[in-house]
Amino acid sequence: VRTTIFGFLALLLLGAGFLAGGTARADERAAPVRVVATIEDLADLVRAIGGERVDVTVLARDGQNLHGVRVKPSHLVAVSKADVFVQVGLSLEHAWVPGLLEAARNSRVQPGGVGFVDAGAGFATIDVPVVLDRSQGADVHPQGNPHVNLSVDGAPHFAARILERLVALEPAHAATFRANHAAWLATYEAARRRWDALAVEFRRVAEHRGQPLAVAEYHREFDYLLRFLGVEVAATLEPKPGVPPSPSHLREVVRVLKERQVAVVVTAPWSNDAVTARVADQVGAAVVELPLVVPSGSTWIASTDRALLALASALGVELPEEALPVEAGAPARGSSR
Amino acid sequence: MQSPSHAPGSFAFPLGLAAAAVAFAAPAAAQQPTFTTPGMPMRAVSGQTDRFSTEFNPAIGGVIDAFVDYRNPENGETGFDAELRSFEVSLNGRIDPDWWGYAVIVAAEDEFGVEEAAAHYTGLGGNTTLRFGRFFADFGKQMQAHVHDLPYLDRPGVLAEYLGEELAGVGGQADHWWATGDSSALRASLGVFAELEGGHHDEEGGVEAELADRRGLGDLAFTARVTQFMDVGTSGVFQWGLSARHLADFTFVDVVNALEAAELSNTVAGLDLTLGIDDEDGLSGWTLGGEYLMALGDVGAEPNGGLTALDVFDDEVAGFYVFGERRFDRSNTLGVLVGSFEHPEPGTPSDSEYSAFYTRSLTEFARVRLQVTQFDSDEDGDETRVALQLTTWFGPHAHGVNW
Repeated sequence: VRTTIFGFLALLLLGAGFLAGGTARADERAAPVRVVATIEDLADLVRAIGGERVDVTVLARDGQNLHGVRVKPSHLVAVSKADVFVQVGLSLEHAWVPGLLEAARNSRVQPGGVGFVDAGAGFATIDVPVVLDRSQGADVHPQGNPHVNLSVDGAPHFAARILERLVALEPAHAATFRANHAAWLATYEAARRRWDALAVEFRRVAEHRGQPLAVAEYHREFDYLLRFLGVEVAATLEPKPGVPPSPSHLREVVRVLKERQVAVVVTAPWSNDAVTARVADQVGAAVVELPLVVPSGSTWIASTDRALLALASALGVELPEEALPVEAGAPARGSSR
Repeated sequence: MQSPSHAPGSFAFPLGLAAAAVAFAAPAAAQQPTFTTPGMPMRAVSGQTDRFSTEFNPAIGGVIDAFVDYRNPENGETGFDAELRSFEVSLNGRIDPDWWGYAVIVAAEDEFGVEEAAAHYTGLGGNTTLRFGRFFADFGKQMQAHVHDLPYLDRPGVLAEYLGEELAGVGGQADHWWATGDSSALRASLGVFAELEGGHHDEEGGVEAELADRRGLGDLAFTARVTQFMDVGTSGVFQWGLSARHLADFTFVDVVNALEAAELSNTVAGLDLTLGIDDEDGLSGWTLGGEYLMALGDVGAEPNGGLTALDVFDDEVAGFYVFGERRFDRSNTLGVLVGSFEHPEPGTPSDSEYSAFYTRSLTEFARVRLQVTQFDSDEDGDETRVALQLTTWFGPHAHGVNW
């Protein structure tokens, strides 16, 4: 009798184990893919493509200098549990992401792992240094200007890589991901037509004025956007990337800006400081602060729209009818750390 | 049709194959002797295959840390001095998928020394790391950091007195971290060392703690630490930690007077608290921190009056330091440090320090620091020190420091 009871209990436990295991596996399949993105730009694309199948956490806050984000415990925990980690790469986040990935010890999202997405890889960057030497500055990026999220060509490049990885991880939902990607691309292409029309207008205004439109920049973060619009960078407040402005350099900047009658100083939130204000004041220029990343709750397309419109307004470029944006504000999901 | 073996010049084909085989084999053998005779050690051949390629070489970095200062001690020489405190060369690299290693070689006061040379093993999976070799033990918030990486000029007096300028040890350490909720993590470590710096030391008398060469397992030196850090709001981090270092069997040695006191033991325990709050841009913010240390057991020694033996102080002494700094932007930081600690000698004399420091980061790789310190010592009198420090980094810089 005792043997029968033990046998029955063993079978019961075994069955419970199978049931529990089966339920766990079913839960695992039903649970959304946990994605950690370094910036909101990438998170927006992951949400657009992944839809309900993704739960996204963003690491960098609005306004932070992306070369120096301070890693927090919540970042470590999020990366340690992530199924997918998405970064721009091109050494944009090199000061903090490698250490974070190493400490998080999550093999799925280590470089080369199935969940690691280097979204900027393969992008045709600008300003690739000819000489790799610290004498060229402190922020020397061997693969070129890493702020590709501020290029109008950046997001579709990222989106293709994100799609590829989500499909590989969840082939059962591949059709949904591809449909979402196609829908996002259609929205992007409509926006791109507006932006192309605006770029034509920028060039027409420059031709009308008989000289290229020009601005000053603090750090070379917005070069992709400026080049797209045909706007020259007359001077940078940093003498070299990552090197703080010296008084002698600022005197030269002021001289150049006065000589070229530059009326706009473009800056990011982190560099919109007293030095920028003083230079703008000395030359009678307006300070235009542009976001470095998509603000939380907005989308990459809406944010790019706003940046282009801000530049147009500051430089006195009137918007052609076809360049007027349609506000595309998708609700944000997931959490920002 | 003739078969190839009968073709004119048929030796050319096998000779070509042989030449190709040699050509392909040559790189693999490039780091070996020309040939290995029986009984000689076999060398690894599957790692880096060409001694001139750089793909698999470690990352090499260097640090120059120098200062000029003025001091006016009550007992000692007053005046200016300049010192190249250290020149450091570091190597970091992956060994294989489960191992990585690093070495730190430092030249200081005309001597080269290996401050650290350790390998980390991460192949256990999960969040466990094992470390072996010579490395700075995991004690408190700042003992793992090399002096040039500290936010101020020197290591706070309480750490230097109770643990040593640097807590380097030869041994092994295991550490593991756990997520404790979505926004905090807890880490614990245990280290076992055959060699470990002892702390306390009578500079004039030259009394130093030395561990015996060979001991029983229970008489090895141990360190342990548990620490937790957590988000505070959207841009703050708070960390607490408890640490302990135990020397189970050591000898105080007075080199000057050739005296020894053996079979001693002591323990140092510490509590550390650190709060960092960033402003929105992440480049400016506040950091506040401090550590409280307590040393128990045989914590000091000095020669007796007749210089015939060492008087060992079996005592309990304590000390602390606190510091605060404001980063105004990524270039300018202003801070203060206050510290005090007791000596084990009769009467429990104490030392205090009050520092104010300004750090100017010229770039990420060059830093100038001005520091003014007032020392108040019951034993040595008062002293004011003004120091200007220059530190430069070239190449990558990393020490494998835990959080």
